[in-house]
Amino acid sequence: MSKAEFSVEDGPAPRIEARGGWTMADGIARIDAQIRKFTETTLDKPLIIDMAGVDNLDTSGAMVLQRTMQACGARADLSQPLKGFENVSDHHKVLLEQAAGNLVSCETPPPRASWLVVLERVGQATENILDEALHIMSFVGAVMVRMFETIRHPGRFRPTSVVHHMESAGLNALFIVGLMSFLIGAVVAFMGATVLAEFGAEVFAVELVGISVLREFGVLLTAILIAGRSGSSFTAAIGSMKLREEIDAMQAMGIDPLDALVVPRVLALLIAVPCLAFLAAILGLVGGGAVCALALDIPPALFMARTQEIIVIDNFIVGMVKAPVFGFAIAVIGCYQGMMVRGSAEDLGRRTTISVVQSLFLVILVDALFAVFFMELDY
Amino acid sequence: MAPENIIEVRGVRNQFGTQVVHKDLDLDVHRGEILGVVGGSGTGKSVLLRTIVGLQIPKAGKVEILGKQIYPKRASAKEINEDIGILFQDGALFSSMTVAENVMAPLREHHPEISDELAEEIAGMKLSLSGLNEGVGEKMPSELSGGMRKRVALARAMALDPKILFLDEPTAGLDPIGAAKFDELIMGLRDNLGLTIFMVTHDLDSLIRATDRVAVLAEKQVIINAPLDEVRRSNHPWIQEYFGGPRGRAAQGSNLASQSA
Ligand SMILES: Nc1ncnc2c1ncn2[C@@H]1O[C@H](COP(=O)(O)OP(=O)(O)O)[C@@H](O)[C@H]1O
Ligand SMILES: [Mg+2]
Repeated sequence: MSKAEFSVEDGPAPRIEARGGWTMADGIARIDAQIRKFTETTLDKPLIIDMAGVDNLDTSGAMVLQRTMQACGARADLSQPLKGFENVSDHHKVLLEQAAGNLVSCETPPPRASWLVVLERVGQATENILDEALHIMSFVGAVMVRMFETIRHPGRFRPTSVVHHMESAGLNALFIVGLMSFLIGAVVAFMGATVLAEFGAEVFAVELVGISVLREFGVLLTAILIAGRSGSSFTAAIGSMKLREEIDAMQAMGIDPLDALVVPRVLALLIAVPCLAFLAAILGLVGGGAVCALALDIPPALFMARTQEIIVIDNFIVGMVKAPVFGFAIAVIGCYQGMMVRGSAEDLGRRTTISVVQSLFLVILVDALFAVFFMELDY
Repeated sequence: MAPENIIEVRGVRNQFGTQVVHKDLDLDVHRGEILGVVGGSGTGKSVLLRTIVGLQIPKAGKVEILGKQIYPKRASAKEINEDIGILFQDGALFSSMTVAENVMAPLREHHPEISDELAEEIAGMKLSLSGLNEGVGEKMPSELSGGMRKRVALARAMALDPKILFLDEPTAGLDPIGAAKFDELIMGLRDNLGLTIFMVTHDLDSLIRATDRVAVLAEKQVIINAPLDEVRRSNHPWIQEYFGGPRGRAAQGSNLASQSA
């Protein structure tokens, strides 16, 4: 196959002699700029295009030829699509005719001034944040209503689904949560003891581990892990169901997606997060105790005794009270963002990211509020 | 003169786990024809299409397309991708791109030197050829109806003027007028561009109006691949039921009426 080529004769009656293969494969894209430039100089003159040398033509080639022809003078006459073309073979005729009727460009509108775009984005973002806060609150309300309904009509309860989510969000996270809190307990003990040793108060490492792990780290780190692990998977699962119209199908069948998808996930995390937080607290103590025994010469018996004596049960309660709240927040945000997915796979990805960021933010915010609350209570 | 085979499938076996979908399947597609592929739901029409274009790797057999081997030896994707266009069963448009960008994607991939203007013009023409109005170009695929998505997918499949077009149930979900236009469109493509078209379809009107030959998939094989009249005369029970059922007779009747009119 030969390359697409053309030569021009300018003048009062310009002529284009087209030669070779006028197809994408033969380089239409390459000569398009040239032919465009030529078109600008021949506006309003009767153009002749000689097709004798064209051995191959495709729809794109025909389009370029027709566009050139129609740009030159008042030739946009659909009744005579071949006017101005010479030596057209029968085969190419059809393509040129077809192209004449379909000269449409998908022009994209020019981008607006950048400062306008920036202003618009800022405004849009502000509105979105306010809107979303409102929506999340109403979603929380709706979920609460459905949960109380479930209590009133236990027939609605979906034990299989709840247990399934408890397994994937809770049981399957046991190892990673346990390992992480063990290590955190160990690090706190070690770092604490290093600093306390300067004051000869190494033995207070026990208090340090006990209070920090029971009150904060155990539950907070569990929540952070679950937000990253389960919150995102809730969003992705519900979001892709949304994209494939599964949720619409449920609604049409009279199944409330809140009942079928959201309530079981919320219940599952309400139960699973406290269990995991408990495990985290215990393993954090074990980690701290292990470091004390191996590196600080505080025997396990002493560690146990001081923990029991000095670290009142209050610390443990303060930690555990937060766990279900965190679980609820993570599950609700994950499900909410999943339900908000619209349109494209890209939106699903965006929502999954937002879901993790929002639930982490919420977990830490709630934790701070709890801290203030318990401080006021002198607990 | 014996017609030239543009697609040759020999002894292909496809299997998912223990479920055998194709066994010793042979198929020829001639250059420049519109081949209709029919068969009950789940007989493996889509799997056959995927096998021919190299998306599904068979367990055994030989697949050749445009004289290049797809299986067992794999021709490089670049070698054949430019020459084939595929319309997937549910469109498979890129959901994060606008309609126009979807159509431009193969153009930009294979012709990186293409200017924005030319790409936009070509995309616009293909969309218009597929029967879409001006203005859809800026929409996102999720904002379109099912039938419009099919048309965009067709425009994208035709973006590079392929030599072979694979269509998986292109008229399913189109209104009858739209489906008839679609038939005309692909017949026009075949006549004007010398395209070969491999069309999986359940649309009896399309089969009657548009196809040159019909391949019937049953019992894990292509049981017959011949012009429609010959297929009709076959006494295989499934074929009898397919064309002899109320819908088959109605489609045939209306077509005869329109021909004599
Ligand atoms: N990726 C896959 N994994 C397992 N089974 C599959 C897969 N794709 C298709 N199948 C099976 O192959 C058979 C044929 O499928 P398909 O070609 O889609 O049917 P149709 O003829 O309706 O297009 C079906 O029974 C389907 O279950
Ligand atoms: Mg199919």
